[in-house]
Amino acid sequence: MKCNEIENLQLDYVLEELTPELKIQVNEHLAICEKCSNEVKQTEALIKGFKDSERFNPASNVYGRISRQISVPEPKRVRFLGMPRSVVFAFAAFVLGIVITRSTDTIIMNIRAPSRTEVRQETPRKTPFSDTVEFYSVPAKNLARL
Amino acid sequence: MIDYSSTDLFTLYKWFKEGDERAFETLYNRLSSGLFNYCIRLLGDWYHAEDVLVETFTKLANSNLDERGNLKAWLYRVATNACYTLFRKSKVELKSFEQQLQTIKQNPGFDFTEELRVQRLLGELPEYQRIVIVLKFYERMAYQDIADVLCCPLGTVKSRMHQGLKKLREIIKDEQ
Repeated sequence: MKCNEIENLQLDYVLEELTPELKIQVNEHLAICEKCSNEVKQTEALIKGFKDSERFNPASNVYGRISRQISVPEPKRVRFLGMPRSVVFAFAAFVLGIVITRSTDTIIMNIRAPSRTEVRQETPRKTPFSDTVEFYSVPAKNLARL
Repeated sequence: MIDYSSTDLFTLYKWFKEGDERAFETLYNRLSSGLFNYCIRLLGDWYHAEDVLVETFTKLANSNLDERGNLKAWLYRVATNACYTLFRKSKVELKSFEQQLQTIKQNPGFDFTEELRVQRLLGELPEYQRIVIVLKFYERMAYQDIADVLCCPLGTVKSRMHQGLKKLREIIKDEQ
C-alpha cells in the first residue's frame, strides 16, 4: 500500500470502520512509514479532542419558546393500544357492519317466512247464478230471454 | 399506556400531527441536545444556537413530512440552512463565546480551555468542511446520513472530510 492510499483510509482506520483485511494492510504500512504513522497519531489526537469536549444542553425555557410558537393540531383522542386512530375506526366500522347486516337479515327472514302452524282453508268462490247455470245448462247471459 | 421512549421518530411526529403534544415533547427531548451542540459548534454562539433550535422545531411542527424521508436528516438540514443564513449575516468572535460560557455555566471550577481550543480550530475551517466534521465527530453520523443532510453525493462528503482534517492537522503542526 502507498502513502496516498493510506491518506484516504486513515480516518476510517482511526474510527475503526475498516474491514479486517484493509486494517492489516494499513498496519503493515504504518509499521514501516514514519510520516504516515505521525499523521495517524495527529488525527487520533484531533478526534479525541472533539469527542472529549463538553456536551451542552439548551436552556430549559427553549421548549417554552417553541410551544408558544406552534399550534398543536386538534386532538383526535382515540388511540387504542398504540394503534393509529384510522385502524381503530376501520375495525369498529367492520364489526358494526357485521352486527347490522346480521340483525337486518334476521328481521327480514322473520317477516317473509310463513308460519308453519298456519293452515289456509280455501273456500270455493261463488259466482252469481252459478247454481242456476249448472241447472239449466244454458249460459247465464241468455237467462233473461227465457 | 403508550411507551414514548421506544417509539421511532416518525411515529412520534405522526402522533403529534394527530394532536398529541407529548409526542412532540418527546421528539424535542430526544433530538434537541444533539442539534443544539451541532449549532453551537457551527456558530460558536450560545444564543444564536438557541434561536436556530427554536426555528428548527417550529418548522418541524408546521411541516407536513412524508413517511419515506429521514426525519433526523431533515431537522439537521433545516438547522444547517438556518446556520448558513447566520453565517452570511455575522461572524461571531470567539471572545464572545467565552464570555457566554462563563455567564451561562456559572461554574467556577469549569475549565473552558479545551472547549475554546476546539471551537477555534473549527472556526478556521470553511463552513462546508466544518459541517461535515461536526456531524461526523460530534453527532457520530454515518457518511450516508451526512450526505442526506447536505443533499450531496457521498464522495463530496468524504472529500470535504479529508480536506478539513488535513487543514486541521496543518494548523496544529504550525502551532507546534
